[in-house]
Amino acid sequence: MNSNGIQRGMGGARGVDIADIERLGLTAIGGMLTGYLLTRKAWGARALAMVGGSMLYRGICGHWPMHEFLHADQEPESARGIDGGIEMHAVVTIRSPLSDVYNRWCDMAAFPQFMKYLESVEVLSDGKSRWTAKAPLGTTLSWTAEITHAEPNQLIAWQSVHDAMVANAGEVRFEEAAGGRGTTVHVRMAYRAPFGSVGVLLAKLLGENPSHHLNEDMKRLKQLMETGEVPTVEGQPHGRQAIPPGEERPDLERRYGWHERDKVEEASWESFPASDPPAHW
Amino acid sequence: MKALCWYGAGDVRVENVPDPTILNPRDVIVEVTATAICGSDLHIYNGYIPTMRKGDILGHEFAGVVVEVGSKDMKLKRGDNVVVPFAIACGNCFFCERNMWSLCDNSNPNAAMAEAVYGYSSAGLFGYSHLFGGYAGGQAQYVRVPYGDVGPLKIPAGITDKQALFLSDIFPTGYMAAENCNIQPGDTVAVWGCGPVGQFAIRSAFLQGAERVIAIDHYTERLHMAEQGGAETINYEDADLLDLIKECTGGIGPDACIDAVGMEAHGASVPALYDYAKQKVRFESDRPNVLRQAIQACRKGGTVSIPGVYTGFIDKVPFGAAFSKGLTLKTGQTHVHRYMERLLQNIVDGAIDPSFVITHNLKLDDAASGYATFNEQKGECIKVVMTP
Ligand SMILES: NC(=O)c1ccc[n+]([C@@H]2O[C@H](COP(=O)([O-])OP(=O)(O)OC[C@H]3O[C@@H](n4cnc5c(N)ncnc54)[C@H](O)[C@@H]3O)[C@@H](O)[C@H]2O)c1
Ligand SMILES: [Zn+2]
Ligand SMILES: [Zn+2]
Repeated sequence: MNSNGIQRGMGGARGVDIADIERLGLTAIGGMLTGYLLTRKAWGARALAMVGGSMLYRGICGHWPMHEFLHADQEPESARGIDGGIEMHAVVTIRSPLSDVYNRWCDMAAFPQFMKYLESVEVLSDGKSRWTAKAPLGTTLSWTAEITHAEPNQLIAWQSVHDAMVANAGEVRFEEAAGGRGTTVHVRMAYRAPFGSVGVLLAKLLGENPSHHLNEDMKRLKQLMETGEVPTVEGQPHGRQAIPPGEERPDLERRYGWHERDKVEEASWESFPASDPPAHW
Repeated sequence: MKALCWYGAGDVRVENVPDPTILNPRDVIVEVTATAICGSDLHIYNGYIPTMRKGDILGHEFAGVVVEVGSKDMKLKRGDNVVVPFAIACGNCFFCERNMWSLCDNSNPNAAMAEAVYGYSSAGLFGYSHLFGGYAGGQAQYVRVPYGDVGPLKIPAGITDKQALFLSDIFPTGYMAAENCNIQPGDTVAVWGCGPVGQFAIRSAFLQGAERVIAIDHYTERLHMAEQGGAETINYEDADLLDLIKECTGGIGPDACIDAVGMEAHGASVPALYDYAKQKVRFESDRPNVLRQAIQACRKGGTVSIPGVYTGFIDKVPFGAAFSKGLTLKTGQTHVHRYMERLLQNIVDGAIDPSFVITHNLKLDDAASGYATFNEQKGECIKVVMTP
């Protein structure tokens, strides 16, 4: 189950890049891991559940979408223990026509409307754009990306330019949903952070479950397109000013990471049986 | 403004909190003129709803006057008198479009949390934990209502707030519980629980053509109110309930059974005590005593309709009985928007006056004692309505 073993199995093949037998094995183990961990309140085990998830995903799909990006030139970094990078994927079905959804994706400058941790996207010339993301402690991370491939109403793929501080690549696929239910959007992204402080910031920004944030972003896009707004409860009244300081649970930051929106103090969380809450929360 | 806030099991207080403001273009602010305590609020009060946060404002049954309207064009204007559905729904998504409003895809800002627990997220709800969006509730002087262009229903002149108030929840809930039974002429419907939801289920079953309704509870006053609604009643403490139901349905069983009790069912049978023990130590989140009985009692090929709220995991549900008898199970939060106009018409026509269920009229300032009374003196206290 260690990642070196998995990488060796990928040995240079193209297309379906892992052997069938290994794929079956990965799917089974990944499924078991994910299934098991999703039924437990094992906060510390979330990372493991993710490993399980990506094994399952890879087992089913046979082919790792960001494989080339992540592993083509990894040697020096993996030797230092960074090991590939951070992958995420999300899927959402939006009740809007295909061309509307595709056009929305072409309007990159508007991405911060639904990508929560993005501060700005500045569209440059010749298919390039400058991305700035919010990072903890008021810092930002930025990089330049270029569109590598675009097929109207089908696909947009991008990659960071050669010497970007945060190397990343991604692709969005659009298809008409079955039954006339709108447009299905599949997003896959991968980041590879350099060693050192930028890498630490990036890891913090993405948290323990990077796909979670991508999923949230996709949900916001759907909400915006379907209802014209993103639902929120930030800024509404509550009676917490009446709580004496110190009664707030001290372990919140640790349990939920630094993200504001995750900071639900589940004062009555214990009303779920000990083994029930899924690993994500 | 004043608002009833939750601080822990058995601990609710009226506090001074900031007034709500418009946060989104489709929001409206309603000045509350009447608000009620629901049996669902008691699940929170008793500490059985997870993801509550200290200081959360409760309340999902309210009527009032629109005092502010968001930037989006909408029919509502300041001064309109409205009653607001407890489920928050966008009106645009696949589910809203199909009339399944309480399953709205877009209204829960904490959808990810609900997805982790339930697979997919249902609609946001007023004052009903962060799992359902963390929206501030309406047991307050003012409340922010999202999607003001689709939710609130105007109360026509001649209908009082207290008559219209229960269109927000319990009347549609009882009505949908009955509708889920697919009642045919001549049918007998058994209703567990003679709380407000049970009372409206009884009356709705008759409105939908049931021939007999058998109502089950153990508080004389509640059973009496059920009789006034036309039901035959059983005090489950007096008899072997399942035998008695079989007996009084000529050995056939009820065509449909409604569980209007939910996760905090009382009982002294062996499985019920087992549930108490497990729920106490949190090995089981819900006590499904009534659900078990309803499945067991239902006639072959019948329907078990479950408006009573469940949140988590239940043990020893006789699924073999459900399977062997080919039962249909129907459940879920009420699609309030689906029923409001239709049921308002029933009120206007004089077919029903929902205020029959009110036993206590209080000021919002006394909300904490209202909770305690409704929770502990269920005999005399059937429905509490408060005015700010
Ligand atoms: N589905 C929805 O959208 C929706 C909406 C509103 C309320 N509810 C739920 O409906 C249920 C009832 O609400 P309510 O306001 O009427 O509450 P309530 O607490 O006033 O009434 C519950 C009644 O059930 C009775 N009861 C308890 N154990 C029983 C048993 N073993 N057999 C028979 N009766 C028993 C109690 O004596 C009480 O009269 C609650 O679970 C509430 O959360 C659901
Ligand atoms: Zn309710
Ligand atoms: Zn909706």
